[in-house]
Amino acid sequence: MTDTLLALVPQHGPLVLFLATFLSCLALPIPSSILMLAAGAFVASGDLAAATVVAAALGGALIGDQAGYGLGRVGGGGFWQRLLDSPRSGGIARRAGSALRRRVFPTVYFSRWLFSALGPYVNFAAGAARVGWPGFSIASLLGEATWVGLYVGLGFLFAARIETLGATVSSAIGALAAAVVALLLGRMIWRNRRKKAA
Amino acid sequence: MTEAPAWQRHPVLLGVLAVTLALGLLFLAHFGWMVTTRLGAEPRVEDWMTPRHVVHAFGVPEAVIAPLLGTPPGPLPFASLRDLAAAQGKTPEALVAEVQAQVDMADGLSVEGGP
Repeated sequence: MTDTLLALVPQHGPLVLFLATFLSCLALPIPSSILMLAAGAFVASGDLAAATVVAAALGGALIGDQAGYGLGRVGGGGFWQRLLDSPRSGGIARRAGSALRRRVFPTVYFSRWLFSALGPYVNFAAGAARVGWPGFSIASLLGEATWVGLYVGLGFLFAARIETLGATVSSAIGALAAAVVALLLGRMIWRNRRKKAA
Repeated sequence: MTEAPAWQRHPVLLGVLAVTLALGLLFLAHFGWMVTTRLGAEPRVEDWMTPRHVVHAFGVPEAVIAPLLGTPPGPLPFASLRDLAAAQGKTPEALVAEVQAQVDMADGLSVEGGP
């Protein structure tokens, strides 16, 4: 599957990158990181121009982030309100919303590249919780620029090993994302327990 | 009255936590396996690679790869080995094997000629 996608890059060029980063920002399981590594390798060999690769990958990711945020803002409001109104989830949803608003920059920035598995959900949650658009957009721009620069740069430097490198980095990011989610869940359970005990 | 255990008060959250931890361990195990076994392994030619990519990544001269591609003389094409094989009526595996043989030969020559 990944090999087939990688073989599409020489066929369709940067358009594949644009679509991959756009769709992956909407939580579709597209291996966009390995496609960016391959694009970096094609830049190193002189097959593709660096500016075109970066523009396509960054453009797709930024539009994808805005689409996710917009979907959350338009379609997620009702869902978010139901969470807030529910006696079971109301407290947790209020705290999650206010934490996201207070720490919008680190949450959005790091979920673009370091915890990228969480990115699409952060987009939707930020829109649904009505996090300010300018703050979200600046963090999204800087985070996606880091993501694209990092992967295209790694592909450029390690052109012969991109598949192995991609699988290794994806596993590390998956483990990191799981650790962050586990920590947040553990904290929520712990706080609820202490609140009920008080 | 005794307090209910945590798993009874937050069954959904604890279920999600258990699944998350299990997934995290799987990712960590895969990461460890990749680092210890695959990361140091010699890279191989793959059918998604382009001729220029092979030349750049494996340090093979262009003149060695060009005759295998069945393309007119000139700059190497920006096409995957898979597509170039299809254009010649070969299987991708056959062309990849031919290119890999040239890479291995070039590797052997560089080792023999090395210091």
